[in-house]
Amino acid sequence: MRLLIMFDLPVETSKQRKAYRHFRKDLINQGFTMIQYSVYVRVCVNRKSAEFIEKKVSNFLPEAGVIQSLMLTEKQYNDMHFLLGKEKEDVRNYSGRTVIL
Amino acid sequence: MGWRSVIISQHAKLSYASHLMVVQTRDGINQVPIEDVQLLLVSTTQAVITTALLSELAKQNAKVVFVDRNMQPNCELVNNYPNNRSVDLLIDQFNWSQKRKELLWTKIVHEKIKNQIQVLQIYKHETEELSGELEKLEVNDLTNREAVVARKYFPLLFEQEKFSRRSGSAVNAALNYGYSILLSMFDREIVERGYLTYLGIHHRNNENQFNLGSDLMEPFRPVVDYWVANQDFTELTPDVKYGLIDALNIEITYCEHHMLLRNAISKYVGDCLKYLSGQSKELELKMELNHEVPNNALINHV
Repeated sequence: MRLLIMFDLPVETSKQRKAYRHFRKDLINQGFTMIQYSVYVRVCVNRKSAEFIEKKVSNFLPEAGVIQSLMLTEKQYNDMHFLLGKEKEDVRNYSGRTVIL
Repeated sequence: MGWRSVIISQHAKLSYASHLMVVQTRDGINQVPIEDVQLLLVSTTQAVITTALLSELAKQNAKVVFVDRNMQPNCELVNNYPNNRSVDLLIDQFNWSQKRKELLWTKIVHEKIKNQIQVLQIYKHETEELSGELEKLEVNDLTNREAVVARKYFPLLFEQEKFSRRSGSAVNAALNYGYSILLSMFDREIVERGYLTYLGIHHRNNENQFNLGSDLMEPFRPVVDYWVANQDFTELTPDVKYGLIDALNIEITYCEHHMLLRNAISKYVGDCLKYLSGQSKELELKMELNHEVPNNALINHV
């Protein structure tokens, strides 16, 4: 299961930029990894835990902007086509239960 | 909460930063969220690990296992004071009723022998003799059927008349490796629930800190045997070890539910402890191996 978070945040005033930095940092603290600018993804064991993390994210939202979330199954996520560029090679973007480093 | 096994196989530095375990290796930096880690196996003696990371892993009840120079698991991190351990819980553990301990041990042995028979059946061996022994099982296994069966079971499974668990063969090394990983998972579950691993229900070895884990893991040992018997190797290579750790993701049937071995262990330990402390009157242990490719392997994990 994947939880995708996409956002567009205003960065005009320094207060807004601060809110943006905090939000991004909090996402990383929750185990999200950046797959593109403003698109973050996290592997979750099942739908329940994805819903749980979504709830946690909704607890640290900035005041203004647009933030969308999307839950995808592993199958749907893996069916994504790369029209240009390559997949991020990061453990956080890998859903196997055994990781060898 | 954790669901991931992480194996460190090379020269590395492990540290902690913003809720992540940071692993620096020659190939670059990898980060894994701490709360995803269930088992961290530092399978090399060339790694450094920071105390900040160790304490965070302990806080999340992750099991950390280290190896010796022969790459065999030889020590593990045990939480000293999990936050749900109370005096009442410990008094309760010291006073587990003798009757319940004996009944549970009988069930455990019964389940173990049943699973051994099942493994033999999967590989199409004769099991009549063992079934006969299973029928002779008495309360608390007074006649030690467990050992009698084991002596017949291993030579049958590995098709060698002189198979001995004491020899230094590759098969034995693999079994020992698998069992110690399995044991560490049981210790993790016991400590996570606030109980002490020292006080067993049957094992009472003074030098074994993990008597309770050694007791409870018995029915799950055949899963390791099942995995090892399916492989063909002459040496305990890293691939075999990784396979043994990945065996925690075998799908089994526990109490009529399909689940991954690692989740079944968690449920099973909870059930046993509830029974021992009198929270549940009845205990149903029933596990079965599924000899087929699990669903999660077909849809790219998780």
